[in-house]
Amino acid sequence: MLTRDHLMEAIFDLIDHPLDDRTRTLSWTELGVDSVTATELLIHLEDVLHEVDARGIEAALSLSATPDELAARLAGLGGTR
Amino acid sequence: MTRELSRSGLLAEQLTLHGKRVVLRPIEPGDYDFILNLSTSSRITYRWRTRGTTPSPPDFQVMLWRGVLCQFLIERAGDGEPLGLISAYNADFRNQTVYLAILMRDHRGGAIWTFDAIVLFLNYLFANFNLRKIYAETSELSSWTFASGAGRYFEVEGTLREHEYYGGRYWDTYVLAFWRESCEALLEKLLPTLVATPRTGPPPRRRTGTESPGTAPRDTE
Repeated sequence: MLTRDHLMEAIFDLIDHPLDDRTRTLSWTELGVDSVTATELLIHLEDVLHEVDARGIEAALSLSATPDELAARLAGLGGTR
Repeated sequence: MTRELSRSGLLAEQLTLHGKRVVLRPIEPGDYDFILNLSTSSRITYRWRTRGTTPSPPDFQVMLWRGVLCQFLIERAGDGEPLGLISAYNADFRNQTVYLAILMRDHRGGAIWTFDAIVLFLNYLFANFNLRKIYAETSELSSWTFASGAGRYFEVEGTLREHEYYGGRYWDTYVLAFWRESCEALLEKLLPTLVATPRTGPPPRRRTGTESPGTAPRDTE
């Protein structure tokens, strides 16, 4: 199972943006994430988080305004430790 | 006899309208109200074919099918909730092109459903018709929502400068193109991740005219 830090690194790697304490709380729009990148992110998360139901990942992504919120929701679903 | 399929043939063999998250299904008479309400809603009308006008229901039905090669209602796979409409229109078989348009409800999950619906529809179009490329026109107003796909999923082939009036100024219109060859390479990679796994058990019950559109979706193939 991924750690939360590893998950955050994977998210920022995919959206091609530097990761730091400030950027992890920026909105997806501020990070330049559009519908295409969001879908690529979803596909990637489904790929790496085998333990979590795909619908849970989709809901977590749709409901989260920032990467930090997303990581917290995925941790709540048991996707990270 | 061995049978060797090209990439196009392999993709055609995977042809489905049933994705993990969205399903494309033929339009039924009961869908017109949903499509009319969606296309004339204040947040959408300026960027779809109605462009601020409110056609009468009979005129709307005629407009909806004018020049259309094929179109489907987009439903959410989980519960059959209608999400939007995806269409191919103005087919030009001499030059092997067609235009694609999509109309989607504003929703938190809308961005992902839009992507999924377009991927399923592109595969459907390239499998069924001998098309070289598929065009889409989009306004500068909404292009930021999928700008990162330029050069990867589609090419921006033209700009109509200050083409369209909205909100006190003129906005550019972009002509996008999905080329068969580059699309097929992408579809080969994307389809397995977006398509629903085959179901086991009995086929889904077909919806009757007295049920709400929120019942379970069905396979259209």
